[in-house]
Amino acid sequence: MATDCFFHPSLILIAGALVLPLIRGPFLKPYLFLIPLLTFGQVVYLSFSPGIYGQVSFMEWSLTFGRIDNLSIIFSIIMGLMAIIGTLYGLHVKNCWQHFAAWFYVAGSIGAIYSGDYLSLFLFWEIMAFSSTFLIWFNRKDTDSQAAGFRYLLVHTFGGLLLLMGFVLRYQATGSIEFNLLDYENAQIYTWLIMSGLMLNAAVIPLHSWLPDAYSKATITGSVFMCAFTTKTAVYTLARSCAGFDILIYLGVGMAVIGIIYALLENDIRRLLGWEIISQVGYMVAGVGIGSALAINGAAAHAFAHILYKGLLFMGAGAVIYCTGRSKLSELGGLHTNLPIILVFMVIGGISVSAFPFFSGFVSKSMIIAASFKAHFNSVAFLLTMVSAGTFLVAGLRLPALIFFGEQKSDFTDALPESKIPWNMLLAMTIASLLCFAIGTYYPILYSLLPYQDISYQPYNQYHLSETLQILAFTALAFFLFHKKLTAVAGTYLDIDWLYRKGGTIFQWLAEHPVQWFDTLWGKVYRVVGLYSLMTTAKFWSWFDWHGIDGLIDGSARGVKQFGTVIAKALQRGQIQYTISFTITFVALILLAFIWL
Amino acid sequence: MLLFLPELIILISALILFLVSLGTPSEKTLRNIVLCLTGLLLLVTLTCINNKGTLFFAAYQIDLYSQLFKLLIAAATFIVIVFSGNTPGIGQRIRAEYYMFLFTGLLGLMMLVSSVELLAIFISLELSSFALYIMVPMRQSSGAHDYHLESGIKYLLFGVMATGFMLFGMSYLFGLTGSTYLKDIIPSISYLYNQPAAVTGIIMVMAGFFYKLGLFPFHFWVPDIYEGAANETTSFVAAIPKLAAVALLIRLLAMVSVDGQILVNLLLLCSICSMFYGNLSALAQKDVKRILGYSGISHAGFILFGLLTFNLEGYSNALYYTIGYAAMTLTCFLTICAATPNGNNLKLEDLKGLHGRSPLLALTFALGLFSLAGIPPFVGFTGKLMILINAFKQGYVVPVILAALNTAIAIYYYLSMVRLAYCSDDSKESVMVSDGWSNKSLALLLVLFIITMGIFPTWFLDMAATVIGATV
Amino acid sequence: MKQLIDFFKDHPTLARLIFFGTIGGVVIWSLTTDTSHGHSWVEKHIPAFWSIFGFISCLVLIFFARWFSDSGIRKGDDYYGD
Repeated sequence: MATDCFFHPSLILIAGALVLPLIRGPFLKPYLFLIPLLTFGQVVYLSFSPGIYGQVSFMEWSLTFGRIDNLSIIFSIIMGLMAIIGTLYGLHVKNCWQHFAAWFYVAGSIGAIYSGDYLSLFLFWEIMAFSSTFLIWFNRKDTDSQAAGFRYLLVHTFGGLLLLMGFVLRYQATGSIEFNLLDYENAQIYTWLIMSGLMLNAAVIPLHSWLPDAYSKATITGSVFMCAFTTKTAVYTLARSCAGFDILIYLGVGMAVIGIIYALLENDIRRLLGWEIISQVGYMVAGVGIGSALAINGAAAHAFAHILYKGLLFMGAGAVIYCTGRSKLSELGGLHTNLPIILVFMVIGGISVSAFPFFSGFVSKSMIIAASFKAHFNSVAFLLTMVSAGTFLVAGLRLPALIFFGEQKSDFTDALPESKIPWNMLLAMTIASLLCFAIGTYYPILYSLLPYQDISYQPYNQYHLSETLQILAFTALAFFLFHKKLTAVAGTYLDIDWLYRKGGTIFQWLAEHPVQWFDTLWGKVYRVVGLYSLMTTAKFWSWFDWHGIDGLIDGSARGVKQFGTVIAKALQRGQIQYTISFTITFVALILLAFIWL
Repeated sequence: MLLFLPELIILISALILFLVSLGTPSEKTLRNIVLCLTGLLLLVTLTCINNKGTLFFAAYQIDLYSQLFKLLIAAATFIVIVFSGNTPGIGQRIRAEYYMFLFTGLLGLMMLVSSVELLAIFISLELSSFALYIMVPMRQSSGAHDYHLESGIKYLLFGVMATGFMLFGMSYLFGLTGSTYLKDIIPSISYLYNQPAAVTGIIMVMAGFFYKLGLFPFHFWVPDIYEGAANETTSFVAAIPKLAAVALLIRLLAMVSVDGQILVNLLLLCSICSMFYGNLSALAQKDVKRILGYSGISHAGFILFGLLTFNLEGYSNALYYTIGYAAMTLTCFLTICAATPNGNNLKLEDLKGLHGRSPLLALTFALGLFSLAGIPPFVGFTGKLMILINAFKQGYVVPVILAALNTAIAIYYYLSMVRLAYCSDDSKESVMVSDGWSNKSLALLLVLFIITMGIFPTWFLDMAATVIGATV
Repeated sequence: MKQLIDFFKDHPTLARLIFFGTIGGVVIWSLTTDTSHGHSWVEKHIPAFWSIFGFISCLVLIFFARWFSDSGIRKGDDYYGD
């Protein structure tokens, strides 16, 4: 169709963000709504004409900014959609720089999905990392958010560095910067570097602990954006470059299990949801690792569904924090009378993530499990099913129970009533809930977007339904019997980030002490040796000047003075007749010399 | 005559300013005079860009290379002059003298890029240094900062030491080759470059430029001078002598080639140490100018790293990076000068809430810092990428990894400044920002330049390659 | 919504009845399901396999998490000094 008029949707967001600070007053809200909508429109429009667009030659390389194919279409559409929902959710935020950062973040994500080479991928990758850091820093309510932003930045800089080194080494070896499937059979060190760089953004263990840390410290709207883009963009890149890497299966299952265990313990709402993201992304990573058409379809579908329901959960959690100002489960509870509508949204999100029939998780998660059975990874499939029971335990039961039921653990008289929640937040949550339901019920809208269309998969059959219902029912039973074991306990749960949260102090110490010490030392050396010796030599020279040179000079000066006196006495006698005669003699002499010469 | 025109203009400008300094010109008159003179200089360097020839018994070479650098120097000076406004950091009484010395220093730098003979190099280098020695302590005293005198002395002492080294090295070179002309020295020294005497000589000569560029181990003056000198002086020192120093380093490095392993390793060590030293020290600083000083040290290391590949690509990358660096630094200093209309130093806390006080300047500052940090798509990223990839192709694997690590470290202190400017509320006692139209348009121009250079590096690199190819 | 919750709160026996009734219904339904589509031997030959599996999974997760948390992974709330 339109092959030569490719317009990158990220550009709409970037240009929109740049103009944003100039928009004021009544135009702001329509504008905030319009730009993501236009972006989404452009993404959808482009998806009708797959192909390679936006090839730019930069130095010795050819960059591809628009690779639109089956895999990138589904991811870009959900990112565009989430941009609308996220911006709508944050429509009431006055600080326009938050929208600014968020739009750059989305632009980075869509750009990364569309890029066909490592260099442009890296460009958008870094845009994502840096703009999202600001979403954490903008949270002024939490004093730790500044430090958390730095930790997030530290980890992502490290990931970017891995990716950079990987693709530069690969370029050195192969002479190509094309971003395509890597060769697993002849994996080189650069293959692992690239994979690790991408894995870090997907929060694959052991590079995962930035996620709960950062997402729990971001602003309310910032975390809604963050929960969608970084990890799922990384899943896309992994599906693009590392599909079929066996190691990802095991890492993915590990993520799923560890994520859910931490989520069972965690006390902070958004940390809990963050751990659950790790767990859910584990499914996708495992799907990518299996690498079959069905598994990749499953990973893509799950990413699509996940963005919606996880966004919904984060929006719900955000609304709870917005109203109560508290984010610890040990301080919440019994809110079903205060926030009944939020309860409904959270439950919809919870049962979507738990793969209830007729909700989005049901049609996507099962695809990955089916793919692992089909590829004869039975233990993988069983473990993932176990985690899916755990997911229901966490998001469908533990989270709503601890927020909305039980006794009120704090005094909520100062909490905002539900009617004070801005309409746009409620609207965004409604849209997300409806989409979760729509995808789960009328799944062809999701399945028609999947990358491999020749694979048919039918989620709604009697066996699958009965399997799911049994698991859900008995999970509920287990919760009913053992919910005392899952109450919220205030505390910090140690994780790998201990290494750099405690280790970071060492680094800071290193920067502050030895290096600074050396610098100060040098200043001292300068002062003692430089100035002191200078002053000493200066003293010496001044002595020498006084006694030695001046003697000489004074002597000659006296000589000159005497000479001058003599001349003055001889020539300047003050008698006019002599003076005139001398003058005339000099002039005559000069004239003579001039003529003679 | 025409060949010497830019230098002549500066000389005349300095004279004019000397005459002006005899009277008591009003603030506005002086500023207008200086602006006109600098503008004229810029125009003249632009028209003289295609001049070719030699002067002073071939000690002074005028070619595209030197003229390009003169143009760059003139342009950078123009920018500094425009954004330093009424130079609040310099006392009203000595402002005319200050400008006079600025022009004298400029003369030295312009002469430096044309010098192809050791004594000419020495004289022009000294000319520029002496002017700067005087400019540094010419700061309005106030309670907040009174160490400009100390830093002036410091600058002088280090400068004298570097000069001493350089002269000593020059005598070695002369002794070894029997000539003071670079064109004679280079072929003769190429037989000797693993001899200890030659290595010592070359290193010592380079010391002078290391000092100008602020490279390890001649960098110790940098943070103190940056912090101690007036904001305008620092802007000048941060950007302009570096251009000239790089111009001469490229000329001098022709003396070394990859075969001179000892030298190359030594220089490589200097470059890596500069990066680490600069970046690690910057992490612990509180003063914005001081941070930029340390970052300047690490950037100088990067520039040297680019030069060390000893191929045309490396040289043009380094040139590209230097131009980019000058633009980025000026962008940051523009904000610093604009944010301190009273001429005080800018502490990190003073950045708080800058986005509320002046959105455009805050954005400019942020973009300048992003670029310095090496974040795409700005010139800082492209420059670093090119240098690293070129070095990588030459087989410097470990240094490239160390350099890449450094870019990662650097991101922290750059971004922490952006964070303060954007993610914190306005502090009560913060001063107003002087963002007149000239500052605003200049900011816009610089940002556009940084972005253009970053996105379309090919034209700049080709130009750099042509210019350097014709000279080296 | 609020009325519904309050209604169940007031009638706990009824709520329990519905809860266990549903679970029972699901199990009975699963026994009638054709398990020949199952992926593995256990699914085909153990009646109501997924019920058992789901229940055991939860027990494993819950108790492992508890043990894990008590094994020293849980620190004070201000462990990192925030």
